[in-house]
Amino acid sequence: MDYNTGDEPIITERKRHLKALLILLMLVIVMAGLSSAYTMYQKNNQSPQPVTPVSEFTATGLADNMPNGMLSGVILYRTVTFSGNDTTAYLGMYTVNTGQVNPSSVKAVLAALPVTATTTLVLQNVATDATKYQLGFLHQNNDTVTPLDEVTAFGLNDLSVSNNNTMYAYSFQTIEATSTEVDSVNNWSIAIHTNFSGDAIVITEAIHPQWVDNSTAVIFMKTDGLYRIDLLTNEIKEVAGLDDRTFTVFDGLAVSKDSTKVLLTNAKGNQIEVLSLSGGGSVEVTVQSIGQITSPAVNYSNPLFSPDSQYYSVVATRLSEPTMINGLLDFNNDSRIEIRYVTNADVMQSVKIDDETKSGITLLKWLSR
Amino acid sequence: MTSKININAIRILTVFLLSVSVVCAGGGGSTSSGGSSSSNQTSNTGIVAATNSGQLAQQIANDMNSGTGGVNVPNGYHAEVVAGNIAGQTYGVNVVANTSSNGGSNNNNTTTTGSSPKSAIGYFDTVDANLCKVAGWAYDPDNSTASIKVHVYKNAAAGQTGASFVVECAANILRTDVNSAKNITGNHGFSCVLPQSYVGSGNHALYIHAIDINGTPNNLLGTNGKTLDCPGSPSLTLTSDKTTYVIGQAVQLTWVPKYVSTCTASDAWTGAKATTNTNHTQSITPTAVGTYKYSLSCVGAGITVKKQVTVMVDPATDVMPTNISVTKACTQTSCNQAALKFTIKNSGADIASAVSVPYLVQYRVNGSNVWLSGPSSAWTGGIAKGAMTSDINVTVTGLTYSNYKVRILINNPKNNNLGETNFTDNISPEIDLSVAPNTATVDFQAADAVIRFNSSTLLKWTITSDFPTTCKVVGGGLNVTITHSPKKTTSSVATPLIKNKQNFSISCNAQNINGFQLPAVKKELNIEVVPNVQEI
Repeated sequence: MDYNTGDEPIITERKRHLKALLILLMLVIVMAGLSSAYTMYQKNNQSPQPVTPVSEFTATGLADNMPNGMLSGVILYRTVTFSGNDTTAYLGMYTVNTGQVNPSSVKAVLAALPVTATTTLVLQNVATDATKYQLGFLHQNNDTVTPLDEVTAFGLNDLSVSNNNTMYAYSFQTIEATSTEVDSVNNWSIAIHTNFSGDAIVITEAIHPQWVDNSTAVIFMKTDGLYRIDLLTNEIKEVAGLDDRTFTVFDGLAVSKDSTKVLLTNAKGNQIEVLSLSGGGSVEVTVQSIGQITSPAVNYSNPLFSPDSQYYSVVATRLSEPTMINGLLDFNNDSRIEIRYVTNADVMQSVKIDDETKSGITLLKWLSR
Repeated sequence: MTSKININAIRILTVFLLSVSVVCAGGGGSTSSGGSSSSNQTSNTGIVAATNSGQLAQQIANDMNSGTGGVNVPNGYHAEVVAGNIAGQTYGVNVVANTSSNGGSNNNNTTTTGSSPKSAIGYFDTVDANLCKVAGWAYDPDNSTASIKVHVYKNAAAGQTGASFVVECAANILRTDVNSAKNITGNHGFSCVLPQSYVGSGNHALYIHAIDINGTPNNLLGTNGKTLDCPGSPSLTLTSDKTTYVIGQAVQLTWVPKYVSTCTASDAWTGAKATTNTNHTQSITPTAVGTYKYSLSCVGAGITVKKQVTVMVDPATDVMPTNISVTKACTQTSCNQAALKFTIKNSGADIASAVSVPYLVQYRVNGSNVWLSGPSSAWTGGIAKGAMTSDINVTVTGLTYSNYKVRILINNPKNNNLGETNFTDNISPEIDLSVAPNTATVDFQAADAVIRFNSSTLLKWTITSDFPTTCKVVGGGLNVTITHSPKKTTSSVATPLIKNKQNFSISCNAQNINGFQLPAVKKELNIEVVPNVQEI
């Protein structure tokens, strides 16, 4: 018989053994849990280990040993053919996880971006001389189009929908490029439609509008740098850190969905730059050296971040001198879509768009589905 | 502030004494002079430097003796000594080359002149009103690789009357053109954004000073006095007082621009519009049914702000009364009422059965412009677009004997939902309604059509008239005057003894009631007489 000494509960010898056994069992469970959690932690937090980089223009489809499921979504892209002033566009879907490319064989609109489950923002060229564009809502349930806006321009690019699917923006070429200013960003303007009811902000001598900060602001490119407009106040501020740059229409711009990274490409160069974007718009430039590929050079354009901001895609083209036709980059038909790691620029996928008749590729949107 | 003393080409092989007068951090040139001081000699070999500042002299001497302050060059000794606490002061520096023979006291007479600090230079290139910033370049030749600061003043250059400090900026942006032109390296461009308080504060003349690396002088950059008017970020609102109108109603647009220089209307209205920062209104009455877009684009600070409102203008005949008929209705006591029957047709959108269709009956006397309100109610039968619906019966009371015009007004259901109750949407044509008095009617009968010789019978009559009148029963020596009160008078009278066939009549006079001529009314009857039996 044990007696309660006052501080301890009364337990028998048998109960002591049982208690020890329970404690031991609990320790085992805790250890197992910790071990499992640590394994999960490692699995969840391991840095994406780049596979052996795929040399551009040597691989098709998935890179060898690419971890399944690391990439997902669908990249909407467009190929075009030029015949005089006529631009014929074909929309395609690139399923990232499988590397499968599904080009459309039907002449389609210049862009089609999903807005809701049943509506899509579409862009059409409604003039034979490529000087008038119409934007509208395509209602999939009855195949009707509600016109939104008609734009008279020499080209219209960069159509995008805000992250909250309530606004849209695009670049449009307002000044016909002369032979001496064909590369100038000053020929372009951007339009930011702050609703689907006709309200808009137009900024001249600018290009490549990119939604940032939960679509409360837009970063865009001007000749002398990147700028940010606050959509609540319409205040424009220059993004610090790129003061020494001079941009042309051959420079591409993308901002990650989390608004922390900026991607710059140059269609006349072979350099991709990943920049850090911090609050307030300051930019820290981190130039990614991806090596120089010569004979011929590889040019990069159409930067596009993945929805999770961990990867990006670019169009890689082997041609000495891209040009602009109807506001679109015209490379040649030796172009690929590459997907690279943000961290080190290694190639994860490199897919050739298998249509020799197309002159250029435009990446429209990386959908997360 | 770190100042720097350059002592160039100290020629120690032949010169035992070098006296250098240095103007620290002040620019303004330098002179060399003779004279010596050996008060700070610390060694009998090497170099001894002395100034009128014991601290500096000691520093220079230590540096030189230790070799950290300079290097031997083919023609002498070059030393740079950094002194951190002598800005703005003038010092004499004696540098003595000591040898074992002269003990440091041999002040040979060769002197040299130390280089003098130079002033910071630069240029005030541009102003950017849209971004509210100034730009240019500046650097200090005393250290052309280092970035310096610039100070922006308004109204006047610093130190002058009215000058007011605005902002300090770093000239640390790479300007390859400047570096190339000046054969220097480093970052020397500046791009200064003025404080937010300068946005929308009017025009300012700006002056920019380069801040010398030695503290002074802070030269004014050329070209100064550029003016900058930061307009602020443009904004615009555009609203309409309603979103749905009935044809004929005015659309009132209100816009409030801010920090814009031009405003241009487009789509359903056009032309230049007011740009001042206040409420502006304009009423426009659409002339046709349809959808109207009113767009306004205002430009300011390099961007165009476009606003658009869309309104609907509906037809006034969404629900139209048709097949209207009016009949006079009588009650037991009068006939001055009207039964109105109308059918409605929907030319607008479908109307659900739960939606009420308010209506109002109005009437006016012919020749009068004053419409009087009759009954009002609402019909909730539901009606599809284009369909006719069943009759609606309305009784108008309170009429007098007169000729009227009658109409029915129907409120569009959607406008009714918007709170509009003026019944101006659909007005029926005017229908004639005559509320005329009835002509009197008389029923006149005898109790016996045949009576025996020299007997009597009873004459009975009923007069029906809405008006008082006087009637008479005559015949066979009978002359009875009847005073009729509305609406029915029933009475009788016994005839005198009748011996032969006799004619009786009742007649009521003609009347004029409210202009209506009511004719006279007359009824007759004959009574036959048969002989008594005893006579046969």
